[in-house]
Amino acid sequence: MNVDLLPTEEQGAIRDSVAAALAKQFPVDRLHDEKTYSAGAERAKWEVFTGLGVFGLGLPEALGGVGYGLAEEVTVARELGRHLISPAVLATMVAAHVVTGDRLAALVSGDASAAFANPVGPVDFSAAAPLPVQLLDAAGADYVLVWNDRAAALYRPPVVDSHVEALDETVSLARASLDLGQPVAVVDGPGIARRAGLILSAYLAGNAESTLAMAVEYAKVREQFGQPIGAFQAIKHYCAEMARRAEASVAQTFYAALDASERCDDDMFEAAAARLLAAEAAVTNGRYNVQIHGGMGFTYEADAHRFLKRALLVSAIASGPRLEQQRIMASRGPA
Amino acid sequence: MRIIETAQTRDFRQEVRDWLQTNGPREKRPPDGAAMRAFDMAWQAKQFDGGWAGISWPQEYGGRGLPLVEQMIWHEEYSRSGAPSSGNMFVALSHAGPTLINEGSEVQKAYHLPRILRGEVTWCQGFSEPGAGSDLGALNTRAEIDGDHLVVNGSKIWTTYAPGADFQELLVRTDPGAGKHKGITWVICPMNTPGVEVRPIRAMSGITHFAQCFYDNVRIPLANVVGGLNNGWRVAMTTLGFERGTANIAHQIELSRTVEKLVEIAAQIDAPEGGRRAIADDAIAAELATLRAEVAALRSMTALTISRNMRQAVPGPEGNLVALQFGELIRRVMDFALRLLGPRGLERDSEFGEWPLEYLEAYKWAIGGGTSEIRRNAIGERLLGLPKGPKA
Repeated sequence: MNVDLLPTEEQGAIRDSVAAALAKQFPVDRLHDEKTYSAGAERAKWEVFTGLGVFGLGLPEALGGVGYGLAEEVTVARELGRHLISPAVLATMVAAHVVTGDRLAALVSGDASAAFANPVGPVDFSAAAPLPVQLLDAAGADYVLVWNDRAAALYRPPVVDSHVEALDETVSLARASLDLGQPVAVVDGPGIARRAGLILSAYLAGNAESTLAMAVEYAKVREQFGQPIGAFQAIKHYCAEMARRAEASVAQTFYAALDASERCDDDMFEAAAARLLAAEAAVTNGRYNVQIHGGMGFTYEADAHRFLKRALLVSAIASGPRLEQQRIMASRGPA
Repeated sequence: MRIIETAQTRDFRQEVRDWLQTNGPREKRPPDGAAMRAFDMAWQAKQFDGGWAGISWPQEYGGRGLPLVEQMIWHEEYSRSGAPSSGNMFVALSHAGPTLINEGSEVQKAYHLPRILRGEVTWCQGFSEPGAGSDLGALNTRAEIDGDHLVVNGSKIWTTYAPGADFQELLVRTDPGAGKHKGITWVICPMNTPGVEVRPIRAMSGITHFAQCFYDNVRIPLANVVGGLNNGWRVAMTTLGFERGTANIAHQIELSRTVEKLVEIAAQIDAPEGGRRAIADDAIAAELATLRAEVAALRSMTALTISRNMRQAVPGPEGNLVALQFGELIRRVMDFALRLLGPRGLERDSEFGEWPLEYLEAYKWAIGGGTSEIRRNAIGERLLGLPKGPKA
């Protein structure tokens, strides 16, 4: 309990500047028009992220970074989650911790970028057979990122086998096979897996907070039986549970990001707990948000389904409840 | 967010740890009655003598006057040491005392606070009534002014540790004509006043925790009113959770120990179908993992609540989030415990522990001090700004 989990003044300033830029440049309604929206086209606007220093945020200044740490990275990832920013932005944030030198400089400056290669099955870096992966918003990316609990590696994007229509239509998904023997860069140790997991947790926590806000807003204005539906306990208590889940995932993600105990380097407990609960919060809040919006929630027009779909997608990146539960049981438990 | 442990607080932590290890009670706490009360008071006196009473209370009344971080560390190390709960001292230390610090007169503070810290008196809380539980504002115990006294008639219920208590923080209706929350007064009731009757109530666990109190023309000096006549609602509400979440640390650590104990038990007992340990069963392991994660989140939510309260004078409605998480989670943990233990879970004091008692006692956390449903209302209305519900 040796932590203060509210943002410092500096972290608050980072959060506010990122939130303001995202609200202006990446409003959620940009996703409404499928004809004009494409993840590829959105990459052209990534200078917003490089301008905010997103990709060098947690790197020392000597390496061309901003000099902050994981606490600031999760602060930003949470805002990215609120605005349904492409997961490739998260991948690039993590990738900056895998490369060095000119490659790193290119990622930080926005001259290069990365995307997730979501493994379909366990990642064994010594396996001879190629790993089947899903490339997420990888068009235009210079690298794809893969990790397991012991290492992370960047690769040149593999040849796409097929483009697949996916549950979340606003993130492109392509099938490919990745030869794990030819990495561009590798980082050993579980620290990078912890960082990746927590950046994804923060994104999911932000997603859960957004659906809470949407549901509450709707419950205040939508009237039935002569009053706002939020006056009814059935709806109010759903909202309260959404708030509890969002609070749990934010608190746990922040706590895990600050965990500087010696054991955090070899024990995934805090990060796995964060990932498990953030995924649960995002998906469950997403479902309740649809429900509270009633008929509108079931339409394509409303945004409720977009947050739900993104929650389902990001929950499944190198994770899943069973994997996180196994990590938790493989650990020594809470300190 | 940042780490706030400094060299100074690390030293403090070590000091607390050492003292508790040397001075923590060795003997088992008596399960009930006068013996339990005497035990709780003696342990408080020992803490006072050691200089550990009232960590964050003002020095002039016998406290240490230290910041919230030290208070938090004390609670954390206290729970880890396995020291017994404050029991009969709880209301005095965690509620009445802080209320007096905030709202009491100089005379009230000078009289009561040192006695509390020295473990010389115990207090109980007279808030709920048979007709005013979740709807506490509907309380109806009357107090009429007669000269320089209040004359109290009515009844209070769910009064924990009432038998033997020296004082009671009593909410009474002094102005029935004023609005629901406007005519209430917070007054110190000496429990030995003629006309006070205490009838113990047995809980579903079989333990006698609390009591119903009856007041028959009980005369209490007006000088015992705290915070002014008809200000009782405000006095009660602003000091609820005065320790600003730090007391929750104890509950959270205890629940974490319970879950770790279940992990150990699952590694000792066989899975229901036999042939392997329970923990080798994927479904059991998955449930344990989720409970571990939820308890970790409870710890983090407590830290977040305390972080907020370090910045604000009065605790906000966010405290309901962590209370809701705790009340619901402990029931899930106990429900899992009985399923894991199977037939052994039915036995009191088996080689695996006293699970029936723990299971039954866990129900109180989603009821006492605000039911989960009332907490969800508070979260919805006070934190999220949803409209109040329709009148039935």
